[in-house]
Amino acid sequence: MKLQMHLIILALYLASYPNISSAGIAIIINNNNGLEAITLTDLKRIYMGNVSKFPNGSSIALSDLKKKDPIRAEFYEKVTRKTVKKMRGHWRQKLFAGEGIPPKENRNSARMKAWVSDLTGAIGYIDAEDIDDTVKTILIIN
Amino acid sequence: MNSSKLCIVFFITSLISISTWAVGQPIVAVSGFFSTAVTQTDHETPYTTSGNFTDTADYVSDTTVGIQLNFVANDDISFTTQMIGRGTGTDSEFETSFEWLFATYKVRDNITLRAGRLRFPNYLISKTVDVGLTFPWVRGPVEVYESSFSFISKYNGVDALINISIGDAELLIQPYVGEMNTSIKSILAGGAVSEINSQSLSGFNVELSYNDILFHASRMDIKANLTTPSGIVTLFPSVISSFGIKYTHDKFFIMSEAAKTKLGNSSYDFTGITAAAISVDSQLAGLKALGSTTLRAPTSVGFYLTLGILLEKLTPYITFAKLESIGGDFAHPVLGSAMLAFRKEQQSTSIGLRYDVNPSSALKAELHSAKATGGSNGLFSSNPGANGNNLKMLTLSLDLVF
Repeated sequence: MKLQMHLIILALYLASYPNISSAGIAIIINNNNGLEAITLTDLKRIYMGNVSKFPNGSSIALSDLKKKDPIRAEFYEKVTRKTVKKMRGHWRQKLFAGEGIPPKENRNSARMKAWVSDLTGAIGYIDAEDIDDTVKTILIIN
Repeated sequence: MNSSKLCIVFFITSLISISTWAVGQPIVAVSGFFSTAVTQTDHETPYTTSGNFTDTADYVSDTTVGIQLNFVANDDISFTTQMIGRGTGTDSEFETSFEWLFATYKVRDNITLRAGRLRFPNYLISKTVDVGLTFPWVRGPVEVYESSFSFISKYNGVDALINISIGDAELLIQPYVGEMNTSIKSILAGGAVSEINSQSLSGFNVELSYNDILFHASRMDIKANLTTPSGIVTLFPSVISSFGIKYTHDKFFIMSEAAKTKLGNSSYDFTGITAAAISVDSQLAGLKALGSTTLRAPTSVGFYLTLGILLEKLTPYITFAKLESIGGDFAHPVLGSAMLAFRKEQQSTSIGLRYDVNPSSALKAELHSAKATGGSNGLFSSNPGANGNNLKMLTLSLDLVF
């Protein structure tokens, strides 16, 4: 009985989070943004808050998935080589040093796409399986 | 500010501690922080300028509440304010100030200009020194962060944030220029008063980050006008420079800084002291006889090394620190004793533990053992006298951000 209970809890836990993407992580921007592609190095600079504008001059608005989303952890591990905890500390420093505002948090891929499609300078990341034509994909990280 | 006003600030902050985003676009972001601590030493002589800690438990000096408002006007322009209510160690009261109050203009993708009330970027944690959650200690090591110019935290002026990518490394160059309206009065031997005001300054901060290594270097030149007892205004130049490093490897981290505060030669003219003044205070006769003189204050050099381990929620650390004074006209026949007030030498060891309760709060405990050396008072506010020049100080603190 105890074992069954543990299995049920484990099943519920696993069901509450999406699997880490097998299709990769898609970097998305607004359809009206003229940017067509981005390098991993430039993406790292953007998410570290070291640049504030796209090459076309529009101001960058960063977006994150929610704190415990496995896509977020995978994204930061691959792009910045830092954990979510370290990135949270990094942005806290920048915020209270008056050097930037942390990325806007979106609850899931659908919210992320809606936010990015509303804002010309927005950039975000989603599971590549969730790509659609409401946003423009400029990089897929495998 | 009294306690009730502090509560009001805290209450309002709590009510609006949310970020507002309109149709996806950031318009207003409100954030804040709160720190409080209890500190007690085993010595009755007050210790450190900012804290005045004694053998009576102090609940006020390290209590700080701050609220920060970021308003994004458009793609290029934004505004930032940070108001802080801070305990004062001298009268158990709170005072408020705007530490940040500036406009930001994005010149291009990697260059930002800021103008208004800004904080000095002199040391590794200067920009966030009031936000306890951003560093491991209960407070910055006093041998560096309680330098001769510890009363200076902000200025009115302009700076630029220039980010340059060098391979995988990022270089931040931050030049700045401005002025301070702080007025500092010093009582010299015999009761004569000198006043430093109208301080213009310039400097730069450089930060090079590569993976988990951060190098920091800064220099600030201050040109202050020194008004002498007889009303003569002279230039009083000072230079503060520092170098620091922060390195994290797996679970281990190192933080270290060296800071030098060089006070320039200051000129005094005592010829204007009147006979009437001398009749009230006979010691002024010595100054009158001195006429004009130039004094050289000692150069202060502070250093610390912190070693720590980043565990799941615990961060134990140990800090070794030293403060020395170099040079200084201590042998001056009349004002040598006044110059001794600038001489601060001590060494200390601090052991501490930080416990991260959750991502937004931490509890800390630190035991600081210091010894004034070289015949100076160290960071005691006066001669520790018969109580000896050794001190132990225990601090327990709570830090929050919201």
